[in-house]
Amino acid sequence: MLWIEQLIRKLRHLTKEKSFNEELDEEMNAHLEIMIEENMKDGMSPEKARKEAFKRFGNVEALKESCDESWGVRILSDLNQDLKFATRKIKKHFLFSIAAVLSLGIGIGSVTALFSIFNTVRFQTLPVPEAENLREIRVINPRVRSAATRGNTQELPGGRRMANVVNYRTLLEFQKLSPNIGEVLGFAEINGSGIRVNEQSAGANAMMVSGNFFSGLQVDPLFGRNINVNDDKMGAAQVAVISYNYWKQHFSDKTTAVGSILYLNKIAFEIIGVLPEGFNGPLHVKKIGVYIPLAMQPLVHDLQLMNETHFWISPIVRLTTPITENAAKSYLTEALERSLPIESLQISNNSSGPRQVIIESRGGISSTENSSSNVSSGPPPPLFEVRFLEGKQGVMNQTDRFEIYFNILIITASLILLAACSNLAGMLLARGIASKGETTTKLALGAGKIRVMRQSLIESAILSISGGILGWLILLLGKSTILKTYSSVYRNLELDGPNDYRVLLFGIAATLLAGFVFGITPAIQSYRTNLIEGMRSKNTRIRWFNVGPLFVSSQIAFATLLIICTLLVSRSIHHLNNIELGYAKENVMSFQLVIHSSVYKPTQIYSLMNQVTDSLSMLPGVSSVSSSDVPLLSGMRRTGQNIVSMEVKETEDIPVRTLTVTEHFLDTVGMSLVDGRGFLPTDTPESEPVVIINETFAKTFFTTPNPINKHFRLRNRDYRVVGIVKDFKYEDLRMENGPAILLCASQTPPNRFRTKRLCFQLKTHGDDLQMAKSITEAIRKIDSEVPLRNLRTIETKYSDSISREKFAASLLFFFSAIGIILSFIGIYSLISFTVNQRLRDIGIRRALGANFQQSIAFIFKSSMVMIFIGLLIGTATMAIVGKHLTEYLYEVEVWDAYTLIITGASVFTISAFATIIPSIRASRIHPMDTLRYE
Amino acid sequence: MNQNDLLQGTLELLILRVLASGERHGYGIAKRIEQVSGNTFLVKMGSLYPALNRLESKAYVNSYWGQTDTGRKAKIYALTDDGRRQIETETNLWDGYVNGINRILKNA
Repeated sequence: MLWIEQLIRKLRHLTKEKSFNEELDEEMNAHLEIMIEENMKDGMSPEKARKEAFKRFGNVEALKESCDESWGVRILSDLNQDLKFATRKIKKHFLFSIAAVLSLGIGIGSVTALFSIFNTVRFQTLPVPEAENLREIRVINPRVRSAATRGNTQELPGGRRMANVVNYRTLLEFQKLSPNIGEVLGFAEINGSGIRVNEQSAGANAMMVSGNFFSGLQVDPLFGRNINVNDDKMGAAQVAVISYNYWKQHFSDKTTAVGSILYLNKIAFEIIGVLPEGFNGPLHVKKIGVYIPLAMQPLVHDLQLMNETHFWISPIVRLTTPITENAAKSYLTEALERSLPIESLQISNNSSGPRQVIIESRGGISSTENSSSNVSSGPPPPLFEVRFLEGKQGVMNQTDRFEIYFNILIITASLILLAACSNLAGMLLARGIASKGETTTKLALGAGKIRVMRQSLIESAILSISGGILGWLILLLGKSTILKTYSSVYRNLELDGPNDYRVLLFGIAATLLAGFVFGITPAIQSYRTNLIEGMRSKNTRIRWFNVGPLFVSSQIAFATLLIICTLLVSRSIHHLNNIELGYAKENVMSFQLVIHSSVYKPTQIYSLMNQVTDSLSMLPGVSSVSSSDVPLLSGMRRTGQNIVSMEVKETEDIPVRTLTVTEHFLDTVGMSLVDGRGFLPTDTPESEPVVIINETFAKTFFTTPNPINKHFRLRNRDYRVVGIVKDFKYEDLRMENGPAILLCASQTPPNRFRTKRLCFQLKTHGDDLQMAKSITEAIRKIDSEVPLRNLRTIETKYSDSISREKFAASLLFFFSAIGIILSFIGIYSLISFTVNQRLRDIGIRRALGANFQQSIAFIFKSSMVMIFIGLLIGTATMAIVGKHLTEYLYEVEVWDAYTLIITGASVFTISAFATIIPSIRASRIHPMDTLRYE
Repeated sequence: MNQNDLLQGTLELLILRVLASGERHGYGIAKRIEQVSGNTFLVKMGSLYPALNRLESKAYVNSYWGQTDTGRKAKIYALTDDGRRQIETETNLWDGYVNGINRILKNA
């Protein structure tokens, strides 16, 4: 192992470098002494002996260098020196270095964190073979409009409606096409399911899948078996398949998993298999834990499997046969038409005129725009049509909005990285030029040009790599914070993915490159210039600094933009925080019970409601309990239309929000009556239907100053107004106050009350957490499985519903702080450079009698121009950014004068400050010194 | 082959060979080479010490501080086992080289 020994020797040599030199000195001296001695022995005079010896010896210094080189580790020892030199320099310019590392770190870290999340959202594909052949099927058919759909629908021009769901019959028809186009698979999410395993509730997202689902996706079970075509039949054994994560969470090992019983909405399913790790279902960024066959639909849901008006299955196709997409679409369109009975055509003909859509937000999300005005010329579009969406990433539902927002973040973070790089570049350049005299002196003294360049390279490398390390730390901390905040805003999204270290490396590489290019430029310049000239004069200009002001201006623009956005969002948060709800925020808790018609028949809902209300009223700390059909501030609402009455003003068809509530609702949530009375125990099914209206309703529908005891008709029922309440926020804080009415639950027959959720409100005092615990316990005593959702205080709901804005504001605040710091550094380094360049001018001016103000006025002027241009560009960019920002603004205009003035003033002050500091420093120098300096 | 390389390599071999006959300090090595070669080779200090350092870094020689005959403190170089083996290898190489050159000089 000779080489190891050699390596050890070399390393030892490296570490004892100093004593090596001393030792070598000693050895040389000894050698010389011996030689002199010998020479004297030969009869030379001492002086001649000495001279002769030195002559034979030659250049001792060169000899020492070449001895050192003999060890073959000279480069390393040089590097060691350079590192020490760089560290010294970094220490000398400590603030500069801290600023550079911080801005680089923040830039690199945030870009990497955001890109990693973005990658997960954007590029993660389903872990199945040949995922690129998957297509999500969207169908346009005339029946979607009238039918109850569980999926998402989208209004198209020409009054058509596109859905991502079909009924069971259509799916079967699609599946017959497998020889022609490939397998068509179907799935349907089970919303609000209560799952129990081993006597414990084990919640997860659950889904029904067609029998060919797993074979079609080519997902093999980890153990056990998958759901197959024989399981997906009416009357087949009730079986379920679980995901790897679900298995890990709720079972100790496979022997206990396969064969055990899982209760889904109280119905028993036998677990027959566990899916491989990584497969989390067909949905994009949403994890599914439990799968059961589609044919189990009648057991877990309300509708019959073959019910034709029920569109509930999302179809996807795996295109396997070599045909074009268009051919596949026409096959599917034919099948779609075949599967829907002829009468549907007539329905669509009747409904082709302008019409408005009644919104009853339940279950699915429906985007309703009034489409009646779209009258297209040319041939009418086909009634039936099939469209494809890329399916390799899974079926997308909720990521669209999310992405726009994310894009803004990523652009911002990238700009910060860019600004950090350009600042590093600018600072290194300014410093390089400032130390040009030093560099040329080094070169004149015989330092190698490579060595000189290497020194500046090492310095910038240290800065870049420290920035990279800091960025990595920020990535580790920042990503979880971003994800946490995000998951509170966008529920149910699984965004956590692997960190994308390629981006981190890219960030470090970019800064290294910037550091290298701009760190080395002054050195190259120095090398090119005449050395004597270089030492003599400091006035050599470098062309880069002609674009320096441009960099600074764009940084100011960037900071301006960020500050405007931050201020706007903060202002709208201020408004949002002070919205008059119309009821109490504090000490009101609410929750929902998800009601499945397979478990509770409509007639049983009231008894459940009474049972829950009674048992909650008994709880200590609860002073009042009420119930309603729709939860407040949940994004959901119910509306009714066509209010008619003799006493009602002539009005357009204005939709009215309706809320059916129990007797104590007003007391519980703290709504205050303006006039009249609340609901009473005497309001029974037998008595006259009564209603409480809000102020806007009173103003909209009645001419009389006091509408109490007036009547109107809604959905074929006459109501008498008994009370008027203040306007209140129904589904969202940001909604305009519209007409709204409260209906009395005890007067509403079960078939009218129909709801999938029973909502409860409690007026409480005491600890919320303790309260939540006892509420849950009380509910579990009544029904151990009914899914209990959103147990929160109104206050939490309130702050949750502005969390998106808060999140945006905190990020924007963070980014604009960085932006301001970066532009401060940018201006500062540029101005100090300019001042240094002009020291001679300043000196001469002052020597000639100009005072300080006059002498630096021109520096100030150029700085002000930069700042002004930056401000202008930044403000102008708001025209583009503003469009995306409006979504986050509440009662604030994009062009808000107050905001613009504050921004302008603060940017101006900070920039002026960055200009003044180096200028003052320049003023301290005595004019004679600056001249002598040359 | 570059003449410097040739001489450099040769000097190293000579140093090793000289050390095979006993430990010496730098001056002693130079003097010994000059003596044995009949003053054909004059060893420059600028070549001797780098060569010694090279040999030391390759672990063919070790060095320690000792005393000269006259009682002066000096750095003494000694051959290692690896160095001894290296003499053999390099002597063979050198012989092959000399033979080759001789053959050309005589027969070409």
